[in-house]
Amino acid sequence: MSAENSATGAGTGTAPLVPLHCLRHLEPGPPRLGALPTGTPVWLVSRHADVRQVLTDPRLGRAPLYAPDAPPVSLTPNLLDAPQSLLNIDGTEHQRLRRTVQRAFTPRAIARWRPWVASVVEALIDELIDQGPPADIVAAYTRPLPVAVISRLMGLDGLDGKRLAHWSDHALSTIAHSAEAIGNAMAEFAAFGASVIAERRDRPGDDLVSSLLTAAAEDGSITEQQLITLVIGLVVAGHETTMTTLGNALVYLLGDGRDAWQRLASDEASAAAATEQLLRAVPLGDADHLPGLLRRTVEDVEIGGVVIPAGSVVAADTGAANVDPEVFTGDLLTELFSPLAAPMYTFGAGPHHCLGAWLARMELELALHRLARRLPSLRLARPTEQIDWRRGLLTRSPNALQVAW
Amino acid sequence: MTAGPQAGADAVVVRVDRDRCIGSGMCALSAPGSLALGADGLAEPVAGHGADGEELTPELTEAVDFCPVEALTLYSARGGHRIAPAE
Repeated sequence: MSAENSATGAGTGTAPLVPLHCLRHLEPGPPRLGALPTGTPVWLVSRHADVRQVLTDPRLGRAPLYAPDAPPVSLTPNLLDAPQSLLNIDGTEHQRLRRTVQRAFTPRAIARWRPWVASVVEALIDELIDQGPPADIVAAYTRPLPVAVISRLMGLDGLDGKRLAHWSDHALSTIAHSAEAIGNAMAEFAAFGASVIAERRDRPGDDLVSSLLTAAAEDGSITEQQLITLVIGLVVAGHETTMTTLGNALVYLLGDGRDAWQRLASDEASAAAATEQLLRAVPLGDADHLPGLLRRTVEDVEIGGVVIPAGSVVAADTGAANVDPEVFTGDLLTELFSPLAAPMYTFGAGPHHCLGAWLARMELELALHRLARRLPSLRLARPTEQIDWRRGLLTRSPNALQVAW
Repeated sequence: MTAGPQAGADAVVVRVDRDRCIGSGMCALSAPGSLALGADGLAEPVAGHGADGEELTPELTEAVDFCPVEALTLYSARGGHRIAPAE
C-alpha cells in the first residue's frame, strides 16, 4: 500500500510538503469566485459564519451538484461522487437513508464502545513497545487502530488490510489514480459490499451491517445500490479520516507541539480538549483538489453580503473558517487544552454533519492519551521534511512516520 | 430504544441544547409538529412543546432518539423529570 501510493507523488511535484498544521489558509473575507480543477467556477466561502450558513441553509444542497444540468466538479469521480449515496442526496430521502445507521452513531451509542476501543489501543501500544524503537507509528498504530474499530463495528473481522488500503486509496483519489483504476477498484469494493450484505441477510449478527439491513427493510424505500454504497462508504469513512487525523496530529505533537505531550498523558479530559483543537486546526488535506465542502444553490442566496445566483457551486472552506481570526485567537500551542471559542466545522454542520464524529473523537482521545501515558519520551526519529506523504487524495497523511523513545 | 413514557402519560416539553445542536434538521423532518429550525439554523421547539407541554407523539420520541448530537431532551411538563434520553 505505501509503495503503491508513494508512486502517486508524480504530477504533484517532489518538493517537500509542509505538515498539515503549517498549511496557510485562505484569508477570510466575503465569498469570492474561484475555479475547481475541472474549470467549473466556484464561490469560495471562508468566514466562520458564512461557512456555517453554506452547510445549514436548505437553499444549498448536495444533490444539485449531481443534477443533469450540473457542471463537472471532479476530474476523476471517486466514491464520494456516487450520485445516490448518503452524501449526495438531501431532504427526506437523505433522512430516511441516514436513519438506518444514525442510531449506532449517537454519542451514547458510541460511548458503549469506549472500554473496547481502549483495549485495542493498549494492545497496539503493547506490541509497539515489544517491537522496540525505532518504529513506524503509522503501520503500528494510526492505521491499525481505526481499521480494527470499524471492522469490529461492521463485523468485518476477516477483512484483508491490504485490500482495504487499496480500496480506500482509490475511494478518495483525486489525481493519484486513473478513472479506470478507480472504476475497477470501486467495482471490486462494491462486490465486497454486496457479499457482506448477502452474508448478513443469511446470518444476521449484532453488527452495524445487520442493523442497517433491518432498518432498511422496515423503511422499504432504500435501493440495493444505496445499501452497497452505504456499507462501503462506512468502511472507508470509518477509518480513513481517523487514521489521517491521528497521523497528522502526531506529526504536530511529536514535533512543533512536543511541549504538550506530558499534559496529554495526564488525564482523558485534557486529551479530549486537545482532540477538539487538533481537529479544528489541523486540516485533513490540502485544498488544491477541493477548496472546501461543496454545495450547489437551488435559488439565489445571499451569503456574507454577496448574492450568489441559483445553480452556483459553492465551497465551504472549513479549514479557513476553523482559523478565522474574528472567532479564534491564539495559536494551537497556546490553545491546545482550552475549550473551543466557537464550533469547528471539520465534521461539517447541517444535514450532512459527519455521522462518525463521535466515534472519531473517542478514538483520537484514547489514542493520544494512552500513547502519551505509555511512551512519555516518544519523539520523531526524522525531520518532518523527510516525511513520505500519501498524495493525490482528498486527504493527506504520512505514509510512514518513524518514531523512537 | 431509549426508555419512553407509557402511552397516555403526562404532557412533555422538549428542550434543545443550542450549544450542541448542529442544525442537522433531522428532528424538524421527523416531528414537524414539535420541532423546527429557527432563523439561525438551529432547532427550536414549536408552540406547546416549548412551554406548557403537549402530548408525546411517536414522531417526537423518534426525533429525540435520532438526533445525531443528542441535543434534544424530553421532560415531563408536570413533574419536570427527564424522560428521554435515559440518564
